[in-house]
Amino acid sequence: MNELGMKDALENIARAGVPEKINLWPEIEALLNKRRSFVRTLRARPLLTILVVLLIILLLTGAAYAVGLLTGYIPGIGFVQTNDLRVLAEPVSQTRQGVAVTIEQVVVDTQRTVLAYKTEDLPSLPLIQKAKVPLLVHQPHCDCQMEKLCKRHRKSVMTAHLNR
Amino acid sequence: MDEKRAIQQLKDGDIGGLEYLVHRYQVKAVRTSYLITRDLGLAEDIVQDSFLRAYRAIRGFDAGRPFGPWFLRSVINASVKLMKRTERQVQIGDEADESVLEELALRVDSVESQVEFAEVQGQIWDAMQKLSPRQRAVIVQRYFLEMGEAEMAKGSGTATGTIKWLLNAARARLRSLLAERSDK
Repeated sequence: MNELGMKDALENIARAGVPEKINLWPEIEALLNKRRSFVRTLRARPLLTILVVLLIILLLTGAAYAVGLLTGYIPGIGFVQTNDLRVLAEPVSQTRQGVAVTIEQVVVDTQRTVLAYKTEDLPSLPLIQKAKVPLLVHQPHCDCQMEKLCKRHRKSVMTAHLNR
Repeated sequence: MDEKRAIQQLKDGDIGGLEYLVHRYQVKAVRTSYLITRDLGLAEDIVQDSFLRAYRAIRGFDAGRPFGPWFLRSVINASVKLMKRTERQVQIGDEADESVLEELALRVDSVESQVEFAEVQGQIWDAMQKLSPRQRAVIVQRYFLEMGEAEMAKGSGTATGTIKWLLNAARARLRSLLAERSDK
């Protein structure tokens, strides 16, 4: 390929498509000044900066409060509504490998989790098999996650896993 | 004002230095981007963004080096990146039209009149669009910006061998596309 010919061809194409008299500076300058004026304002007015920071903190805590209000729970903090009781809407049951587990009632408040369940046809676990009548398990509330078995919640967590 | 002084001014936070650099490089930069994107508005936006990026990155720039190649490399990389993103959505399935390109390379060597040159030029322009953005970029770097292979490799962060291969592939493809077209 003739390099000179190619160079000339590309040069001509570029000249035809892009006029010599373009000027990008006004727009670049406007964008830079906008950014600089914001930074300058923050530097020149420390009180305003503090106010802006406080406003941001307020907005963030407000958002967290709204989440807490809606769900009663803030991740990483725990239950934030102390008045509400949370209960299971209706009993749920599941059978796996011939073992039926029914969660009959769950009541949760900030202090404790109460879980009533029954199992049927559980021949390999004699202790549980005996409990054919509904079990009432009272556990003081703790922050353990459902996936991580905590000793105090082992029984209820096991039931929850079976139910999934 | 010269380029080194402008860069120093810019490093000191004086945007007057950037104004000098914009006026010095904007036309070349927009034309470079235009050859890759084929869209003047898009090319202007890319160059504008590249100048803003250069402004933010200028503290780390070695003032002993020329600004032009460093800046134009950033324009090329931004153009290729954008075209890769858009062409992935638009040009899938265009392979059937590749034959349009194959005639150009041979004819550009043998043109004798201005009329013929203008015609071949148009065909080169069409053929360029059939190359991948990366291939287009290496053609633009080699023939429009007259960069060496080592410089191109350094700018794109790839090995010289890769650039040679890309350039040869782009040249071969362009040549065959032009040749095919001239046979018709």
